Amino acid sequence: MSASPLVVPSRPLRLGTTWRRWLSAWLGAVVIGLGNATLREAAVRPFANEQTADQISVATGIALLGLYVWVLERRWPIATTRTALAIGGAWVALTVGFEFAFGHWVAGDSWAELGRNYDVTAGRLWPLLVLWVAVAPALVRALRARRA
Amino acid sequence: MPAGPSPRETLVLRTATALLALHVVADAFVLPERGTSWSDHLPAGLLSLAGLAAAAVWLPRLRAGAVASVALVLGALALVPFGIAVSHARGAGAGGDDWTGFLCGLAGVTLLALGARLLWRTRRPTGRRSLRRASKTLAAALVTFWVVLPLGLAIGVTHRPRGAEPTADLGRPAEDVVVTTEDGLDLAGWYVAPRNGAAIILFPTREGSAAHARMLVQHGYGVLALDMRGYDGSEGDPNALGWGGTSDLDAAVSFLEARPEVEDGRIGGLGLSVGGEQLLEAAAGNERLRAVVSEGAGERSVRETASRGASAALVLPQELVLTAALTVLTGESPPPSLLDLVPRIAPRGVFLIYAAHGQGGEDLNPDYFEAAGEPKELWRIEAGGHTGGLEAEPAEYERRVRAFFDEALLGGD
Repeated sequence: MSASPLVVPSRPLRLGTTWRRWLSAWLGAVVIGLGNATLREAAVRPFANEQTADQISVATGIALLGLYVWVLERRWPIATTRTALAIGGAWVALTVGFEFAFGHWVAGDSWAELGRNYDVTAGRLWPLLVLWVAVAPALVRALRARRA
Repeated sequence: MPAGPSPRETLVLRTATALLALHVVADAFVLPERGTSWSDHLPAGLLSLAGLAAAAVWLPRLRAGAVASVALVLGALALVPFGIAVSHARGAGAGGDDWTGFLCGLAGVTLLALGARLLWRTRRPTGRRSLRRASKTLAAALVTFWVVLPLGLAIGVTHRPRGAEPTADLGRPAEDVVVTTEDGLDLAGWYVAPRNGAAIILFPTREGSAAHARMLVQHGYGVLALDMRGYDGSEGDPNALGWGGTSDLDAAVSFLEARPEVEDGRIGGLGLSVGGEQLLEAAAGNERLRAVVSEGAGERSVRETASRGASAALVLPQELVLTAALTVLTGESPPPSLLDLVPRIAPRGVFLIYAAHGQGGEDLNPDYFEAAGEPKELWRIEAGGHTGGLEAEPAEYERRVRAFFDEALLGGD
């Protein structure tokens, strides 16, 4: 049996411009998320109980993130639906990873507490926001393509 | 070599500054502490916003080295509200302005990275490199020690994170009470009625003084353990150096006077650290407070530090900056020096306790003792640290404190 030759890439692995831009833009989504949480504390929490405030906050979060993705997609158009879905998936991975890592190791929440955010049977709507993060780039791209 | 930051670096600088401004707005105006309103924070909030706006507008026009220095200072200071938010989230759960506090962490790391990048990019490879770097390192160390540290400390002591609601365990059933101050703040307290007609105010937190409360309760004393304004369950803005909080103790004295179990105004106080300082100040102006035990009192402003003379020359600029920053952030004047206040307590009793290896300037206690009139006592505890006397020497602590209060409040019965 002859030894197969070692394959060496001809150039270093590099992310494409679209990916670089959209992955950096995820930091803006973090800022929007934390700003939205502040909005909930300031404008919603005084008038609503914890659960209702959380639900309203998910709605405002979806609106704000949708607007953000809309602005981003106009500035940095995504070439294909597949890429848009992949970007959405990457944002979800970053969001969930950040949520659990920060929540557990920085804010001191237990894994069980963090997991409760995903319990829709208890009225938690957070999974909707995560789903929205996944599909928003593709949806916004499709809307732009239809209008064009 | 460009003179200032590039357009992209300017954008990063302005974005990070905007995040800090967002936190200032949330902290000072939108989500103020319970019992306070946006108007209480107008001068401090507007001044902070003006400073950040000036940084965002003017900094990019300066040389890269100057921009880097300010970015590093701002970045370091931004980590303070981030630490406070994390601490609050871990203690009582995330809420209020913690979310923008988290954003300060992002802004802080970004500014620190930007500052380091600018410094690296604009370094000069020629000339007297070693001498230049040594002098810059020395300057950076002095600025950190004299400016950044006290500014960070000022932000920290005026934004003490609240802990979770504690549970009373004082040896006898305790009543949850609310003590309202003259300026309208509701303070959270635990009250146990006395069996010997005398009651002791414990300060500055219910939870932190629970062991002292149990010690006193078992000897028949009543206790009123109180959270200082801005601490844990109490309304108001916190100030961990205790400026402007003596009305909390005046309200506590009035509360105890109104209790029928407290006979003939037999009211004393036991304060730990800032609580001890506050009790000394309160007793100097309130004769209804008949006896005070202060453990771990130290320095509250540059006024006490100045009393150290030439030996404090190195830390005096730091204390000056801290005092000035606190004056701006709280809108309060620095309190009088404890050296001027303790003589006014006599002929009521004062018992000063301090740790040999304490902190926060508690080595000044012999000076406070010297200044105080009779009757007075001083106890230096060799073992244990700051406010750790009861834990380090439980039997002796109990014996001395009990004897002091028995003499002062029960006439040595």
